[in-house]
Amino acid sequence: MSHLTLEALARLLDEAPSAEEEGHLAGCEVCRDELAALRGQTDALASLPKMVPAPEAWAELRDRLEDERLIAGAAPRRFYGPLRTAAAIVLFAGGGLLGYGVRGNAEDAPSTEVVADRGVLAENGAGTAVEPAPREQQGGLRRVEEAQEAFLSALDQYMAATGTSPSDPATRLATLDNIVLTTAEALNEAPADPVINSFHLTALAQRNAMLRQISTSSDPVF
Amino acid sequence: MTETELVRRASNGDEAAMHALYRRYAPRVYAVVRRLAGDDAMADDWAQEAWIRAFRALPRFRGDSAFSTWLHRVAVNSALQGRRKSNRHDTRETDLPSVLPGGTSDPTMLRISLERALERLPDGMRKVLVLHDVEGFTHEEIGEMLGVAAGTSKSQLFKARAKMRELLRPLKDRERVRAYVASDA
Repeated sequence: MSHLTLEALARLLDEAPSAEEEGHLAGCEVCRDELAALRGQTDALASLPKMVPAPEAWAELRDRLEDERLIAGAAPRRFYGPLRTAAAIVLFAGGGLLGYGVRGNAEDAPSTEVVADRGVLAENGAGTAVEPAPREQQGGLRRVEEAQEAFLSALDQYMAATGTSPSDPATRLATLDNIVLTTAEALNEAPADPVINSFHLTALAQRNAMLRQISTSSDPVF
Repeated sequence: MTETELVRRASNGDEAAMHALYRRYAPRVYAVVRRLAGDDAMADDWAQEAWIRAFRALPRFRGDSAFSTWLHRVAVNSALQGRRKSNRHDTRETDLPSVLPGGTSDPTMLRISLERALERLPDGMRKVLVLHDVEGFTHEEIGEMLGVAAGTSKSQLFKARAKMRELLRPLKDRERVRAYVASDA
């Protein structure tokens, strides 16, 4: 008789052998060894240790629990909050439609209608997201948000120290430069994200327009 | 605080209770999801999805079974659903260390060999093997989860064990068996 197949031996871990199988095993060392190895393998599988999730897993889960309002009293985080802030700053820096004050109230402004007026920003529906953003986009957005917080704080200090206003061309240019840099960094994390791409391109275009405006202006800027 | 109390509080949205349950069971949830997923990236997402589902469904948890059992089922279902969505049928081509289960004194190497061999199994076999031999579900339970007959689960399990044995068999051992079989024929 040829050897028992591995599948047949695997079955014998759970079921009693037939008389023929039992007879074969009694006289076949190879099959007995295989059966013992299969048993060892199965025992080892049963004792595989637990695995540890990534340390940041709870923080990410917590964010989602908040978004789904599964945590009592939690308002859903706004994934597009930073994008709204970015939209406000781009609009402010590019044309002054909203004014500097809007940045302090990113939850309320700009409205999607105002953004829609600016074309490319509205195309991706800033502020209308229902589904949570993918992980890489969240990472990108967080980077934008953190960078902008830091920048706006520095901008406050700069304007207080120099007595300049938000409409000052140098301030606007600095703002746009910052947006270009931060959105470029965010794109490193989420290169295919259409929303961040839109902001980056818009910021680039407005920065170039501002540079042209400054270079053709008769008033000294710097 | 008792687990029943933690579950009750968590179902009311108590963040501290949710976190406590997470700390207690995250490794177990992650392990089953990771082994069913076959890779880390998917496992992270599916484990998170499992917890979201669990917390979402917690108000409907009646306590007919232990919370850990219930949660485990939620995790398995979440991973199985994730796997169906991901529509992946590839097997990884990583090399396996030549380690025979039971034939090494290094438990870490053995564990690594087993995990890597698991990753290399075809999807259908891995699911059944993980659910039965690692997680301890019965064929009836597996059949219910996978939507197949218990007999199908059994035959898949035997194939999976045999495949694992092949994957784990050291080259030398394989050659020895082949030579023996050839001489016997």
